[in-house]
Amino acid sequence: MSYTIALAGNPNCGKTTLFNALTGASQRVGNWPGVTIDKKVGKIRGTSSELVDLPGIYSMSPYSPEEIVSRNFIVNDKPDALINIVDATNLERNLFLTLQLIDMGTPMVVALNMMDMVQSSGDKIDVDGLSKDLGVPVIPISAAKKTGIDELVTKIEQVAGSKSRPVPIRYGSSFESAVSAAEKALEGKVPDDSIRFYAIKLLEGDDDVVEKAPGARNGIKSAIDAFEDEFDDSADSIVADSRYNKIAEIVGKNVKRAPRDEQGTLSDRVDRIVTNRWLGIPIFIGIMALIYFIAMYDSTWGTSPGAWATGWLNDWFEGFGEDVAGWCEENNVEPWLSGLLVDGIIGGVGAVLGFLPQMIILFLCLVILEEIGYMARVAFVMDRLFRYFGLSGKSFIPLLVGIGCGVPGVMASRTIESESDRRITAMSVTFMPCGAKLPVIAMIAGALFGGSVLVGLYSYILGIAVVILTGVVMKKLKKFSGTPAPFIMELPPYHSPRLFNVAKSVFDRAWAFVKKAATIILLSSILIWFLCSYDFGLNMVDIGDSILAWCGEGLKYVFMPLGWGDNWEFSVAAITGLVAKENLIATMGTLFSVEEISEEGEEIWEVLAYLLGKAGALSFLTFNLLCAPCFAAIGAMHRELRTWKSTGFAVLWQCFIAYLVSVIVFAVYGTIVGQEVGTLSYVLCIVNIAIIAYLVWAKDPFRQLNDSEEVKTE
Amino acid sequence: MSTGSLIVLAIIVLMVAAAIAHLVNNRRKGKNDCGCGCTKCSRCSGPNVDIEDCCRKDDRSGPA
Repeated sequence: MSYTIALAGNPNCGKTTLFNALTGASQRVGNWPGVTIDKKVGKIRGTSSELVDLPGIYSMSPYSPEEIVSRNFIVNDKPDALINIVDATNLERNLFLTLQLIDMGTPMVVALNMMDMVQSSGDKIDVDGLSKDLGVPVIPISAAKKTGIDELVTKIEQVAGSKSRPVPIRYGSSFESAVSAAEKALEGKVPDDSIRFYAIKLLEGDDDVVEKAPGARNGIKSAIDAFEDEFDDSADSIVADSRYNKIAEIVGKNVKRAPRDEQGTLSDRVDRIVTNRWLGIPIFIGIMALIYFIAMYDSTWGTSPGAWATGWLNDWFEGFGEDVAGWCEENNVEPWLSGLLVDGIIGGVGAVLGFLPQMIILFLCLVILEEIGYMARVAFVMDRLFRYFGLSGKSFIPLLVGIGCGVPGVMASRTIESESDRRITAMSVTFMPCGAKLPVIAMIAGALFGGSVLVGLYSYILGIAVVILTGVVMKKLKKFSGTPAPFIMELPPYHSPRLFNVAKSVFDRAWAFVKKAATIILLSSILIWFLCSYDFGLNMVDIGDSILAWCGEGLKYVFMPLGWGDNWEFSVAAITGLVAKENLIATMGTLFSVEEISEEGEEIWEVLAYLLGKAGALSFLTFNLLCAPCFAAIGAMHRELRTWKSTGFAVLWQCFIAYLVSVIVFAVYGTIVGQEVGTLSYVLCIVNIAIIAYLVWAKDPFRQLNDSEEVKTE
Repeated sequence: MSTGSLIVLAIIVLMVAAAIAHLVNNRRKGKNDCGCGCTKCSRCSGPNVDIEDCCRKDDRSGPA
């Protein structure tokens, strides 16, 4: 038989890991809450049943978008059975949702996850006793170690087939009298199977249920008043208290805890340091510095493994290009074909692929940090900083996701309840350096700063600073104003990284990088080669007379104050970065190959250093880190912001702030390192600082805009 | 055109065709080319994900 089975549980209790174990899927598993944003579907292996993975929720109250998705699915789509995954190391909190699911009357099985951790801590859970008290089957499992999965599949199929509904849990005579009164008032208005769930929700005054059964709550007003008078509290508080008392009773009966160390667990002790009010952020900076040191450093203290491997691969591509050029000459290959292959394809794609070793090392370190549970601590540490500036700490989770790729990062913003916070986050996520920007960071760090870790750190700190700046400024716009949403986050215990997960995650990201180089970057490189080799009459010409030079010549004046000099190549590269940020490198690889600069004995990146200088390079990096993201990310922003007007505003803001900050960086850093900075850059720098200061400190910098908004609303 | 030119032309045509086919195929499957490998991102993966559930379509079930 084929059944529809829903998978529900608290955030970060291992739902996605269990979903992958049950279906054989390879969905992203994150060691922080909010990885599952929407429901997802898969087939349970060895059966014809369908498994629906619901977002993690703490209760069946519709307070957040995830809770609404989960509640609507269970209530409206009526799955044949439910797997309620429960974190066995934290039964007290997880069982609150379990009790609500039991009230819904859907056949269900409780999957007691993380039993391996319970055993290693010395705690003991009486699984049979727990099953008896809850009135539903309980199966001990470890989703990560894939134990108990077969028993779970057998049991859920059995429960779905027999349609055996859970036995409702009773909370005391007064409570049950009030529920009976509510059930009578709801008869015929809600599905009979779930009437107990609706009745309790009616007592709590749940808006959805009150709306579904108009007049029902008023009809039982006397029963509710009596109920509230007896306990001297509001009905919703009494319901919650009753549930927690029942949970305490069930846990007290069935869980025997091993004596705990007074200092707490190892996780507690580590957390005391890494989440410390003063040490948290410096430790995060230190860890990121170490990662960039391993991946990129190439200076006084030697060459890091990442820099060495990247140097080797770049040399290989250069040699390969020369060999191919030699072969083409020997075999009388047409010059335009030889140019396309060597300068266009090998020059462009090779320039990007040369950074693969550094990317693998960076991906590896970031995945390990996520696997062990450190990234969740970073979100916790950043919450303090964000709240200080009036932003929600919940915004940091999408930013963390955005370090991998901006697209899922933007999508992750939908877990934020507050509309204004959600919109601000969606338009800020791409300020963080995503995977595609890492080769650009590596290129600038390698070409001008000896692979200094400071360039990597600068990129992250700049990203976070501009996110905060955006939040502070946007909050002054009426449509984005409001107090930040509360952020509740559970810190998962640290665990050693699982080799398979780490290897798979790194391979997936590295493979995606290679695939992108072999597809989008390849096609873009060919286009760039064509545009920089031909004129409008389609005659093969010198690069200076090409179509691209014509376009770039106009653009370069816009970017001159940023210290990019009289070189149109950098303006063109910034524009091609809209297709994919790696394209920046491919474009420069192609352009400098066509210009044959490297044949004069200089490496392409040395030429870059010569043309830009340190301050120009830092401003080039700054602009490309902050300006409009790739088209895929803009599309994702549009899906979250809903209108092209809002998306256009977000993209304009990103380009505006990128320009402002880049000019300041060039002028200030250029002065520090003694690079020549033009008068125009200095003037613009002062003007830009004044604009930013005004936006940050003025009480109502958007008065006119806000007033016109008010008029429209009226 | 020399044999060498024909070989180079064939290699380039093959590479371009493979790249375009890959991109078109991804589009048809509803995957985008964001670089995270859409099938690996939090929202779009799973063996039975329908195009409706994937990146290109706005299917948010929650409130706006």
